[in-house]
Amino acid sequence: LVEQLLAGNEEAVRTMYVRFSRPVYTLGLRLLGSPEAAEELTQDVFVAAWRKAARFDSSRGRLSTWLMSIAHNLAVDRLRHESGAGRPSLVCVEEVPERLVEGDMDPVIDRDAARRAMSSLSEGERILIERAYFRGFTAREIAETDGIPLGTVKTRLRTALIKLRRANQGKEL
Amino acid sequence: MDCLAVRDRLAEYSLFLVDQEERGALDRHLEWCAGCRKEAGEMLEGAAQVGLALEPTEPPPSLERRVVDAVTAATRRRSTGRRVGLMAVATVAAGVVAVAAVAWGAIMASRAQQVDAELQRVEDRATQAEIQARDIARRLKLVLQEFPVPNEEIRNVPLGPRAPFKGGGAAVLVNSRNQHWVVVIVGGLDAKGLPYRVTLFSRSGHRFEAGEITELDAAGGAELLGGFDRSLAGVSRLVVRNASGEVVLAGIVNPPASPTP
Repeated sequence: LVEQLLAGNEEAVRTMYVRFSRPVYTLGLRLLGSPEAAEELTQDVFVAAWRKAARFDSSRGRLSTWLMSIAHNLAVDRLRHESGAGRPSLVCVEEVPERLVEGDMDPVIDRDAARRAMSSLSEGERILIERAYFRGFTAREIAETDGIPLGTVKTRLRTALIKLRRANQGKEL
Repeated sequence: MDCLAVRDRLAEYSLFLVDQEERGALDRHLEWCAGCRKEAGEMLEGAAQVGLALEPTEPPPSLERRVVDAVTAATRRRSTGRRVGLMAVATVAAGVVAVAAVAWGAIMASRAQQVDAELQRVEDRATQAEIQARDIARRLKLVLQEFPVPNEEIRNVPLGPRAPFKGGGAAVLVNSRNQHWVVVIVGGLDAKGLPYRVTLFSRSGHRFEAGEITELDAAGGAELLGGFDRSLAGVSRLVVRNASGEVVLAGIVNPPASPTP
């Protein structure tokens, strides 16, 4: 699919869109706060994926996680650019319209696996990761806000990320 | 940055919480350090789970058409760009390293007439490598005809392989008041090394990313046309790295040729 995408095969673009547009759009909506911005982000993500397709290595990770990394990166860049800040100032949309999604199974499997992975985190780890991922808090800011050592926050972030990755792969820590 | 410093920052790197400058420094380290790259990959995969776990929202139906159109339009733009590149330099066969044998200096010094003389000489000898070199020379001639810039604004870069890698190539740097670009032609490269990244370095340590070679022809050849919005005057070195960040080809930028008469 990635090879066909690289060649600009319209059917491959369409297939990829059908499989992955929902999580990408959802992330855009969540981070950027408006349907218009989420649509723009989704378009940018697929164009960026086409540009970077030659660098995608399936042995290093799944297509869905690769696309989500691109989406997160672009969203953060956009927020950073718009705010002119050195670090992202993310908005967090607590209420997004939700609709049931049916059809293609891959995104469902990805989402179920991701949810299982998230449930492997302790409450404290989940809150920490969400503050960093959705709200753009750096380790230093979290350390200052919570009054805990910077090294501790960094270690917890690292542990949580590794835990998510391993849980997603069905491995025990 | 050493591995210890990099690993200390990888969690925030994976969550896109580091600024551009630091991100660049980390990216440079990850280009060559497989251990840190592996850990970064794992953390990026972990971070992606946070987004994937969100309850999905259906995008509007019209978005699919717009996305497909945007990607296919980008593909067409690249194809057009490639055609321009092909018109100028065309594809290069294996054995590009033999370009040195067609007297680069002479080509640049007096342009087309010298190229013709070289072509004739190469034709006479007609070994396979020389035929390939002739192809390169012919294409370089087309580059020079296609972009009528004075000699003094053109510099050449013969590219040789770094052991254990094979292949070779050449590049033409154009740096005038309004144009800053490079044409890189390579051959004999291994497809396993894709994508290849072409980087220019200045004496003061600045780097200019010319772009990536994402596909090779059957003989391991490709060409790349990179444009820049700043002067290439200080550029002294050109490096081609494989996907693992290893230097495959490298070359020193020669001084400009004699002024155009």
